[in-house]
This record gives sequence, structure tokens and C-alpha cells, in this order.
Amino acid sequence: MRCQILHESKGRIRIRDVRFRMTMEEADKLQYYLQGVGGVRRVTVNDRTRDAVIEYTGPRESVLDALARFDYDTTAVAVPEHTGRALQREFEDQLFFLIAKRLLKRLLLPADLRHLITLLKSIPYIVKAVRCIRKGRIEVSVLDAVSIVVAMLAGDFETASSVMFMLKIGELLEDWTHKRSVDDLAERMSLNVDKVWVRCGGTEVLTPVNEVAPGDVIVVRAGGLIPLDGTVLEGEASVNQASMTGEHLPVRKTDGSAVYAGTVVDEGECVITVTQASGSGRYDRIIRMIEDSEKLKSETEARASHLADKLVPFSLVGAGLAWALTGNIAKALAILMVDYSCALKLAMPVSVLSAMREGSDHRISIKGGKFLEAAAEAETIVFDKTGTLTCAAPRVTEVVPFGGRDADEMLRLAACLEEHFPHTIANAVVEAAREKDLRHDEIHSRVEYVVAHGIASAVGEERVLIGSSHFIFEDEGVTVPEGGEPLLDSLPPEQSHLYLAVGGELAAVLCIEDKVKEEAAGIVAGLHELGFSRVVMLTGDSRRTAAAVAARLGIDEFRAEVLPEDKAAFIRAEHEAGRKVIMVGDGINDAPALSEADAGIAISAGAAIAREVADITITEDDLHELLTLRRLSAALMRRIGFNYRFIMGVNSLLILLGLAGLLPAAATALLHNASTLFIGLRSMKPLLSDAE
Amino acid sequence: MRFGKFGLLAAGILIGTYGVKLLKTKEAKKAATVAASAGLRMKDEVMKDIGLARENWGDIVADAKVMNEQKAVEAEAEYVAAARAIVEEADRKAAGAAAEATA
Repeated sequence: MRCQILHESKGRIRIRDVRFRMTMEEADKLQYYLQGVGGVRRVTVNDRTRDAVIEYTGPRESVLDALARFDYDTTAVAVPEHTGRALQREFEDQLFFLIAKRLLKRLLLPADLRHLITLLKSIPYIVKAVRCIRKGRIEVSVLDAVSIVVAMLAGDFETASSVMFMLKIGELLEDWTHKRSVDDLAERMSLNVDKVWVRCGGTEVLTPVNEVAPGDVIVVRAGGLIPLDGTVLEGEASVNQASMTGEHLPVRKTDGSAVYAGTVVDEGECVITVTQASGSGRYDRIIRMIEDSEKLKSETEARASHLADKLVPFSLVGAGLAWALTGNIAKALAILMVDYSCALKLAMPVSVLSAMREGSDHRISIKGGKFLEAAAEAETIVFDKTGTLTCAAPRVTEVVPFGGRDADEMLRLAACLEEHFPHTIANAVVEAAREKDLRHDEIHSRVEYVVAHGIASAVGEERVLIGSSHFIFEDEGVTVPEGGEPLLDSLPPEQSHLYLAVGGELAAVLCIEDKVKEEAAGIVAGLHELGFSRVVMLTGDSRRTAAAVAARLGIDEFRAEVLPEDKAAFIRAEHEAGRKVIMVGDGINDAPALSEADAGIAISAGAAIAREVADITITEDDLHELLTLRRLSAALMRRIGFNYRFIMGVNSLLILLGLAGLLPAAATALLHNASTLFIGLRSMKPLLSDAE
Repeated sequence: MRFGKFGLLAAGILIGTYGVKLLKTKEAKKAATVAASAGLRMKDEVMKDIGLARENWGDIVADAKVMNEQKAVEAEAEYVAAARAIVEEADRKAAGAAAEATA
């Protein structure tokens, strides 16, 4: 690409494409390409000016080099299906025309004609207000209509017209910020491509979802996301269709039932014939999901808009009194011009949405304002240990075979079973087999998952089990081969153990090291500092291991050897004690606890069902995001508080000034609108400074 | 009202009957197209200028940050130099005093 450097300073460069023009698609391509270059922090490409502003931390040469290598036609860049650019353009144009039309009208049309237009335009507002009154409610739309009508009756058509103009601008801005936030979120989410097991010729192959064609047969097991629409070919499963229907009770699916993309298998497994390939509808589904979740407005937000409606009668009465007492319609108008609602209704959602967007800049996706509020107010934070406090990738350190079996063969068998289940321990086993280059063709029959305990299947005639000691020895009554007890007792105690049994006899123990994340202790301290009074760890590990980890990390309380239902019960108990709770987890077995908590936080690498039921998702490799989330949500609450006081204060003052006759209607309207715009724009600013 | 009610009524009737016919002619359509294209071009120009103004402002802010950083570095160097002079002075005095004491 040929370009010209227009400006340069430390860590920032502005270049211009030398060609005559740039399309929006090209701008998107350049933007996503540059964002992928190492050392580049932030890029904005403007297709109208053909300029790109690049902020970088790496060496300057690598940026220039990347620019030189770029070609619009040949360079392959992953650009999401929808970027915000077209949307942004559409709104910019609308705003431009709205303003241009008003200016033109004022310049060109004679006053009478303008007044006629104002009169016509006021009709929809009046109709809306009448409808509202008919329902027995006096809300903001009534106040809007009254102020427009009173202004017109007083012969002040200019004011009436500017009230409508400001209302329109406010609506447009609100719509814009809203759509943009939703779009941004969806854009980021649609970039993740899931993988799915495709059955072909008797074996199962892990395939990216976008490569699956209609007619392919896929297998989805407990905890897995059904990535595509299809019909069940065989198997039986209960499917959680909450993402489609909002109904949280799982639905039973058997042969011939239709299953839908985006739903999650709760229990059992099913083989599905795909009817529709990915692509179509995926983006729309994400958008729908976000919109649904937005209905979960935060309490503060809801309170603000109710308050706005509740204040309407006071404004009306105040204006009426002013008119009755002074006989001066201008004074009444001055009061009517000031309504609390515009500002409250604009500033609150904008604050929340921009906080959600800022979260996604920090790779935290938040499904609704309600959860930010919970994140700000919670006193207790509960961690499921594996995968959150410990490394995302535990490692198999040793395979101890029993009864004279071969260690590698046992690892192969274990990997073969575990690869079907989305769990961090399972991933460790599969990874260990891969490292040793052990190929594992599917030799077993149907696999069955017993949540939180283990997996059962059969190889030939023999029953194969893998899981916890409780599951293997107590539930299934597996025996230890003769002479194996000393070996079993000598296993290193500081590691987690996974037991493999074949034909009712212990075959091997896999020692798994579940290393605590380096930053974990610092994070726990940070959480305390940010106002969490109780940091709790839940784990399936033995009491001894759990106590050691808890002491090392400075955790206030822990529960060892817990089952999934215990996790949810723990959170219920916290609720009963009157505390708000955040739960952090990543596995299938965390799902009940995640949905029980006020805000459930899932690790993005975890099971699909965990992400599905979670309210907030963070990336796997950085627990610092928890601190960022807390700061962000606390800052949001502060901002909402400020907005509240500011709006009430400024507008009350304006009313008093109007009443005292110190300000004419036009001036209060102007000041009111200016303060509304100010608070709206202020609410869009980032909550956290770069340093944080 | 300058037109008066009848004036408005007359204008309305005129626009209603002949205005529509006028708008349907080829010439009118052509003229409207030209006007619309000019309008759209104007919009693009304005938006482009806004974009440029923003980018230039970004340049200025970036430069300003660099300038402030430079000033801070210089001030710091001055401060360090002054502090060093004080320390050296004190050292020299101490050394002088020590020499006197031994002498």
C-alpha cells in the first residue's frame, strides 16, 4: 500500500492512503489488518479522509513495514461479518440531514410556512400524549406535548419547533449509542469460532463450525453448545433453549426433534443432522441475545426512568400554578421547558451501555446493566478453583499404571474418553497424549458423562471408567489389583488424581498438577482492597490441598470436596445472610451456581453452558479483569450518582429561575438542552483512565 | 399573517393541482436529481472536513503530550542537577572539615 505520513509523534502516526478514494470495506480491512500487527495498540481508519491513525508501543519500523506489505486485494484479513462502520455512517448522515434541514428551513422558508410545518409536526406528539393520558398515565410524552402546545398557543412557534428538534436529536443520539454498543459487542462475540465433533466414516473429527455443511452429522454432549440448526438422528438429550425462547426448563429431545443453533445440551448426548450451515443468522442471533439481556436493565436505570415519569405531574402543576399566580404564560413555559426526563432517560442508559462497551474493550463481555450493578455492590466473591484460580491448563505429570499395564496405553485410553468433554482436567489428559504423540482412534462405544464424577464407557466387553476416587471406588466399587495398595498410598499428595478403571479393576492413576496462577494471590489482595469482605474458594479437591491453597492465596473461606449442587447451595446461603454474591467459574458443574449468583462470571475458555448461563464473561488468561470489572462497575455507580445529582440540581435551579422570572422560556430551554447534551456526552466518556 | 387565510388556501390549491404535474415532468426530475446529488456531495464534504478537523486535533494533542513530557524531563534533569550540586557541596565541606580536623 502506498501512503503518505502526515503526522508523527511518539508512539502515534497518521498516514493517508494516496489513492483517490477508499471504500468502507477497504477501511474496515485496513483497520482489522493493522489491529492484528504486533505492537499496535489502537487504530482508527476514516474512509472519508483516507487517513489511518495508528497508536503503537512496538518499534516504528514494524508498523511501517506492515503498512508497506499491505494490499487491499491480496492480503487476507479476518474482518467480521458486520462492523460498526456502516451503522455509524447511517447515523452520522441522519444527524447531518436533521441539522441541515433545520438550518435550510430557517434560511429559506417564510415564517408562516415554517409555523405551519411546526403545527403539522406537533400532531404526532399530541397523539402520543393523548394515548398516554387515555391509559390513565401522565408520563414524559404528556409533558413534551404540553410544552409544545403551550408554546404554540403563546404564539412562540420558534420555541415549539426547537423543542421538537431537540427531542429528535436526543432520540437519535440515544438510538445511536444504544445500537453502537450492541453492535460493538456482537462484533466482538461473532469473531470467536467454535469447534464441533463431526462424525464421518465411523470416527469423530473436531471441525470448526464454519466448515460444517448441511447434511453433515455432528455429535454434541453434555455441556456442549449446539452450534447449528438440525434434527436429532439418534440419542436423547435435555436441551436448554433459554437463548432461543427464554424458557429455562430444559426440553427433552429424541429422534426426529428439531434442535436450534445456540442452545445447549444440559444432559445426555445427541447425534444431529445439520440442516443449516453457519453464517446466516449467527450475527442476528447474537444481536437478539444481547437485546434480550438488555431487558435486564439495572435497578438504578429503571429507577431513573420511573423517576422521570413521576416528576412529570409536578412540572405540570408547577407550571399551572405559575400561570395562575402570575398570569404570565412565559413563566409557565419556562418551567415546562425544563423536564428532568430527557436528561435522566438519556444519561442513564448511555452510561450503562458505554460501561458495557468499555468492558468489552478490556475483553469483558457483560450481558446487562443489572450485572454491573451487582458487580459493584457484591461483598462476597466465590471462585471455583480449577481453571479460575489455577492455570487454565493443568498438566499430567505422571501416569502410574496398575496390574502390570502399560502407562502409555492407559494414557491413550484416558485421552480417548476425556476428549469428548469440555473440562480443564480433560483437556490436560488429551494434551498429555498429544505431547507423547499417542494417536487415539475411537475404540470405545458410547460415552456417558456423570456430572462432577467421571465418565463411563465400554471397550469391547469391558466397562471403562475414569473419574474421582469417590466415583471409582465408592460409587462403582472398583478393586485395586493385588499388591497395588502400597503404590496407591505412595502417590504424591499435593497433586490431583484421576483414576482409570477397566473391567472393575483399577488400571492407572493419572497425577495432575493444577498449578495456582502466579497473579492469584495479588488478585485476592486486590479484591479485598476493592471492598470484597469475603473471598471464597470452592473446590472438589481434598480438604488438605484446599487449605494449603487458601492459606497461600489469602482466601477468607474455603469449602473442599464440594459437589455442584453444594456450590449453588452455598450461594443461596450467602443470599440468605443478606449478601450479594459474584460467582466465578468455568465448568459444566458451575452452571447452577453461576445462575444462582447475582452476577455469574464465566471464563471464556470454559464450557459453553457456563458461558451461556453466565452474566459476564472474561478471558482465561487474566484474572486482573476481575479487578478491572469491579473498578469499572464502581465507577459506573459513581457516575450514575453524579448524573442524578447534576440533573436534579441543574433543572431544579432552572425551574426556580424561570419561576422568579429571571430567565425567559427560550433561555431555560436552551440551558436545559445544553445541560442534557453535556451530561449525555459526559456519560459516553471512558470510566477508567488508561493507567487503570 | 402576511398571506392571509385566502392566500394560503389559494396557494394550497395551486400546489395541489399544478404542483404535482410540474413535479412529474422530466425536467423537474432532472433538476431534483442534480439538487439531491449536490446535497449528498455537500454532506460528504462536510463530514470529511469534520473528520479532518478531528484528526488534526488528535495530532495537536499528541504533540502537546510529547511537549509536556519533554518539559518534565528537562525540569527533572535540572532538579537532579541542583540536588547533586547541594550534595557535592556538602561533601566538599565535610571533606574540608575532616582535613582540618586531621591537620
